[in-house]
Amino acid sequence: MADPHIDLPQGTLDLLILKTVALEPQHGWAISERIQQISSNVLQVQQGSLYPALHRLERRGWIKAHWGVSENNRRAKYYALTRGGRKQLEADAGTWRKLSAAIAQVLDMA
Amino acid sequence: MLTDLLYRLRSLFRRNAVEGELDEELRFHFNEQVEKFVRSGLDRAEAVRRARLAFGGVEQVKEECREARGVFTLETLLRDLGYALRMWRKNPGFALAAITAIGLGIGANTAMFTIFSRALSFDPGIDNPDRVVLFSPADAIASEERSWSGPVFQSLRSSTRSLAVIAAYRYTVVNVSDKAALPERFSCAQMTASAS
Repeated sequence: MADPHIDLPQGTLDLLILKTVALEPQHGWAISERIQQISSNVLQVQQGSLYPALHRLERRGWIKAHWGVSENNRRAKYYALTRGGRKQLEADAGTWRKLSAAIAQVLDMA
Repeated sequence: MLTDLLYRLRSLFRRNAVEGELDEELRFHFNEQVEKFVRSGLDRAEAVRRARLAFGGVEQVKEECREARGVFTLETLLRDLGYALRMWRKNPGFALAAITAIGLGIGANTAMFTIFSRALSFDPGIDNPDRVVLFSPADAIASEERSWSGPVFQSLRSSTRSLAVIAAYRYTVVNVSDKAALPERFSCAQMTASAS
C-alpha cells in the first residue's frame, strides 16, 4: 500500500496549528490528530516538529498555554489562540490562499 | 516583544518548572499515542514499542523545544561569561595582556577622536547657525558665484523682510606692518557690520 502521507511544506505547520486552535483550545496530541483527520490522513504532523512549533508560537505570543484536564482525566497542556494569533492566522491564511492559487494557475497552464 | 522577553526569562529562570512541564507534555502525547494503538487492537507492549518508534528521539524533541523557546542565546551568553572568568583565573598573565591591549586600543581611539573632533569643529560664535544663509546673485549660464554691487547690497539691506539681518563680505589683500619688521601681505575677508 502506498503511503498517503505528504510532508508539510516549510512554514505551513504554524498556519495549520493556528487554525486548529482557533476553534477551541487544544492540547498537542489533539492538534496533531485533528490535522490528520481533517486532511483525510494526508497530512501527518510529527511530534518532532509539532512541539517545537507550539513553543515557538507561544513565545511569539500567538498562542497561550494553560494546564487543563483531558477527556480521559489526565493533566494536559492546552493551547489557545491569542488576539495577535488570530491576526497572524488571517494574514497567513490569505497569503497561503494567494500562493496556492497562483501556483495552481501556473501548473494548469495549457 | 514583551511576551517574547517574559517567555524567555521564564524559560531561563524557572527552568526546572519549564522542563518539568515539557516532560509532562511530551509524556501525555506519548500515552495518548499508546492508547490509540491499544484501541486499534495492539497489545500494550507492542503499542508502547510502536509509540516509541513513532515518537522518535525524545531528547532531540526537547532540545528543539528549548531552542524554540529561545533560551539558547541567553544561556550561551551566561556560559561564555563563566568560561571567560574561569580562563582569567587560570591564566592571569594572558588575561592581563589582553585587557591591556584592548584598553590601549580604546584609549588611543578616544584620544584621536577627541583631538580631531576639537580640530575639525569650531564655534563660529553664532547663536543659531542653522538659520544663517549665504546668498549671492545666480547666473543661470555660468553657474558661478557672483558678487552683489554696493548699491544693490544697500537696497537689499534696507528693503528685506525675509531676513533679520544682512551683512556682506569680500575677499581682499592687505598689507600688515609695524615698525619692527617689513610689511607682509595677507589675504583676508572684510565684512560689513550686520545691521537690519
